[in-house]
Amino acid sequence: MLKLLKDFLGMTTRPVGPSTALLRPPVRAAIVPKVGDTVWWAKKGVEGHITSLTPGGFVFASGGPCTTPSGKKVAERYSTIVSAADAVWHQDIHCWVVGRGPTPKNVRGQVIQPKPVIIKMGVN
Amino acid sequence: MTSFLYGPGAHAMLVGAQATNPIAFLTDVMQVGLSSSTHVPNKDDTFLDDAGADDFLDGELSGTGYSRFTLSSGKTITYDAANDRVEIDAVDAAWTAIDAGTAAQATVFSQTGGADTARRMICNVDTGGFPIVTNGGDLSLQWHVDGVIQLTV
Repeated sequence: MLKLLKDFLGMTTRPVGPSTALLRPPVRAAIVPKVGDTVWWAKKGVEGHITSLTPGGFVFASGGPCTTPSGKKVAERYSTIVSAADAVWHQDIHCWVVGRGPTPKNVRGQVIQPKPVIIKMGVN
Repeated sequence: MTSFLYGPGAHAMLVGAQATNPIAFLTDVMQVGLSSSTHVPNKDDTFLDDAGADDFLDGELSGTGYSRFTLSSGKTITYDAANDRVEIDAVDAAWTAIDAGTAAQATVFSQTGGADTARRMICNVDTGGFPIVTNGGDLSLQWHVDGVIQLTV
């Protein structure tokens, strides 16, 4: 009768013990820097984006690209190289934080910089 | 998939006034929208709502902070003689505090037509950071300094 009552109430009659799942270390997906990721340089209080990867880290530039007065050459306003060990991924603000210092509640935002759609009219 | 120009949209834009329904990039209202991977871009598609279950409308983002962005001013078409190409450019697009899922691509289209079944697509862009997970922060789509579209001659 007790078992029927428990089944009716949705209660289990299986013995309760420590869950093995709880004993396993948490599985975390590896987050690796990639070009275009937002970077917050905490010490300087500036935001940038990863422009290229290096064997041990990445290069990021702040301020975005600009056009030189003489033509259409694109130059970064500021760039620096950091070791991946010095960068920590912050999921809440969705960016890499480099160094120590105040972190923003929300960085200026994510940036997409697509390449032009190229059409070629023909080959001479 | 990579960025490309939609065939029917290219035709309507390049032929201009000679076409039955020309697209005038500079004078028509142009917009850009974001869509998820549900949208499977096809160069042969014409409209935002092009029938089927995988066109732009089927995959368009939906949620906080998202709406189609109007490229209202700053549209230019210039010829770059040094590089032998026509450059079609527009203002950058931006969304504030957007939390609307993952954007796999952006689509530029002509807003004229009255309904999505008649609004023609011009190009699809999926480089430079796509796919991107909107996270409640701001998102900006910064077109290349040399234009959204380049027509090399």
